[in-house]
Amino acid sequence: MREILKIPHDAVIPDVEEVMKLQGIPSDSILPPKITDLYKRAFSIFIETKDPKGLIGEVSATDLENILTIAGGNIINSVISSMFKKGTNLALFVFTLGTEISDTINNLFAKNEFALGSMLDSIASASADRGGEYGEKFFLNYLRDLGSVSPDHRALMYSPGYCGWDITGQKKLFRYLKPGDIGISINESSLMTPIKSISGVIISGKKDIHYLKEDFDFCKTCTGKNCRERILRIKKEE
Amino acid sequence: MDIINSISTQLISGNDKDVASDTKKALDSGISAETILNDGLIMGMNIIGDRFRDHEVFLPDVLMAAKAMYAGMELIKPILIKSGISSRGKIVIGTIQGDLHDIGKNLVGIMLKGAGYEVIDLGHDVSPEKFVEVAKETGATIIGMSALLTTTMANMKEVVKILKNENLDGKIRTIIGGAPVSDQYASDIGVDKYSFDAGNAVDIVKELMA
Repeated sequence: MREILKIPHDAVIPDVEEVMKLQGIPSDSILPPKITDLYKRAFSIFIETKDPKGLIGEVSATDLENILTIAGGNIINSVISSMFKKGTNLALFVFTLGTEISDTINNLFAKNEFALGSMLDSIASASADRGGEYGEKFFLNYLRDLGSVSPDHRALMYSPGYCGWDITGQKKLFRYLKPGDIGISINESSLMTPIKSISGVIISGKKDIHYLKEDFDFCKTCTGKNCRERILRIKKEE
Repeated sequence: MDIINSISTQLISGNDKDVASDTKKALDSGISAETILNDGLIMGMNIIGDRFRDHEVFLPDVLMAAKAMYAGMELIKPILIKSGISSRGKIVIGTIQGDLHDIGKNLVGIMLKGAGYEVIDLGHDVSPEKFVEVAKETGATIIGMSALLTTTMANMKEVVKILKNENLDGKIRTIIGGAPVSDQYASDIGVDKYSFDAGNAVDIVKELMA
């Protein structure tokens, strides 16, 4: 299976709380009218400029192992390397909000509209996370339709740049999935254009395989704790 | 000096149009551009910076104040340049190679400019060589690096290595910031200072340039 996804726009609209969290505003804060107005303006630009697209492609464990193998033939020491073989189905996934929104954010900063640019950036980042969740749901539903998964299966995405997987891993992922088909390219430093894009591997398997312990070396310096948020998402569904 | 207080007050409230209009009034009344800068604009940014550090205001409040600061700066900058009044110092900033997260770095740049420094922002995905090259070219005495990813922060160490190899350590100082880095990490890789937020970055730059 390799498919360009038509993503419903509603699926990538983030909650206000998610956006404010990215702005460093605690969820129990009373927002001053100035900030509420700013959010409304940024949200309106977001609605006008977003162009969500996704691309998903199944990958075998052997191919994924190849993607995760670095020079010298060693597999990288990362969360994903430690658990992907426990997954029953694997898929590569990329998502983008398109070029217009990224250009708009840059233009706002260039025009000294820092607050509006920053708010739009936060909305777009939260939206990109929603895009990832859409990919996870799509893959799980696809497998359910095939009868390939049991009710206790969950599909979660793991991305290059996080949890020990070096950002350069994105280059190999791109060679397999070829996201140029939805307008995403990658530069020498393995960064994606448009900026508001995400990539990763979606691993489907029994939900327990995603319950990881924070005992990797890189966990000591990690402040993102994306893994905890992922686990929480599964637990919320229980 | 009521007009100077008004500039500062309007800046704190993020009223860019009022800051521009008050700045023009101040200039028309004969107040020097340097006084407007130091006692009006920078004073206002210092106050909002302190309030942000103390969690009394939110990030958008600071960014709206920064826009107001720039509205005033646009009017006085030509005068400052003409009268040969230089900035408080030059700083090169950027997000390290392999990383594109630059909102925190942007905030640092805005706050430093607000404090009267000249900031050369190299954007994101900046190679260690580029940081040093631009600092040398522009005469900047501080390089500020940011990273969000644990997988890219190691590239910061390369800047320190290059500076050492070129006998520039001590002449060009280094600051790092971003979610995965810490005081300990800065010390481990030989960086001069770690900054935990944008307001703190301004304090550290002041300290390093003193």
